[in-house]
Amino acid sequence: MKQVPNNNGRVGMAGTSYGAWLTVMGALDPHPALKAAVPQASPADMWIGDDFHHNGAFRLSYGFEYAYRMIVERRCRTSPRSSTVLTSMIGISTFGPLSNIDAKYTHHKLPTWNDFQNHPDYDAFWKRQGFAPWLNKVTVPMLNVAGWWDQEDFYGPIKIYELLEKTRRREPEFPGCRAVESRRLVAR
Amino acid sequence: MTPFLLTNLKGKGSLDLPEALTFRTGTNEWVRHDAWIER
Repeated sequence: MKQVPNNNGRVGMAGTSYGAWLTVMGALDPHPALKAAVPQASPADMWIGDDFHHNGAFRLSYGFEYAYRMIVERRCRTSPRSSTVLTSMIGISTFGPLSNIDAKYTHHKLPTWNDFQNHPDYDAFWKRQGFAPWLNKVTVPMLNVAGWWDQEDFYGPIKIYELLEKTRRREPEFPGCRAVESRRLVAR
Repeated sequence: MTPFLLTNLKGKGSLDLPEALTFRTGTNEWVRHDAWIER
C-alpha cells in the first residue's frame, strides 16, 4: 500500500475462478487493511466438487487439457486450443491406461497431470487444498458470487458460503467475528 | 460488486443486498432471500 498513492488504507480483493481462490486465501489470515473480498466462482474442493473432479469422478478431458495448457502452451505460445486438438488427434480413447499419457506423450513435463495420476483418491493431497478446515474464523466481509451454469466451480461458492454460515451460527463464541454480518451470496 | 466495495472500502452509499440474491432464468427475475438455503 505504501507504493500506491492516494489510498485510504482499506484494501479489497476480487477475482474469478483461481483468482477467486486466491481472494479467499487472502481472507483466511488477512492483512489488517483487507476490508472486503469478492470471490467469484472460487473452487472450494478440487476432488469433491470443483474443477478436476465432481463427487470424486475425474474429469478426464478437462483435466488433461488444463494440465497441458498450463504448462505446454505457456512455454510454446501455441494456439489456446491446441490441447483440444492434441486430444482429438491422438484420441483419449486410444491412450489406454492413463499412465500411458505420461509414459508415451508428456514425459514428466506436466506436473499437474502427474498429480492427477498419483492422487486418484481423496487423500491428503486434495484435503489440504480444500477450504473446509480453514473457513472458521474469517472476519473479512465477503461477497460470494456463483454461476448456476458454471461447469467448473459451482460447488465452490455455495460451499464457501455454507462454511462461513457455520461460523456465523457460532458467532457468540467468537465475538471478533462481527464482520460476518456482511457476508452475502449471489447466484446468477 | 461495486456497491459492496464502495460500502466496505469507502463508506459510500448503502448496501441494498439481501443475505442471498439469486437469478431465475425461467421468470427472468432476481429473487431476494433472507437465508440460503431457504428455510
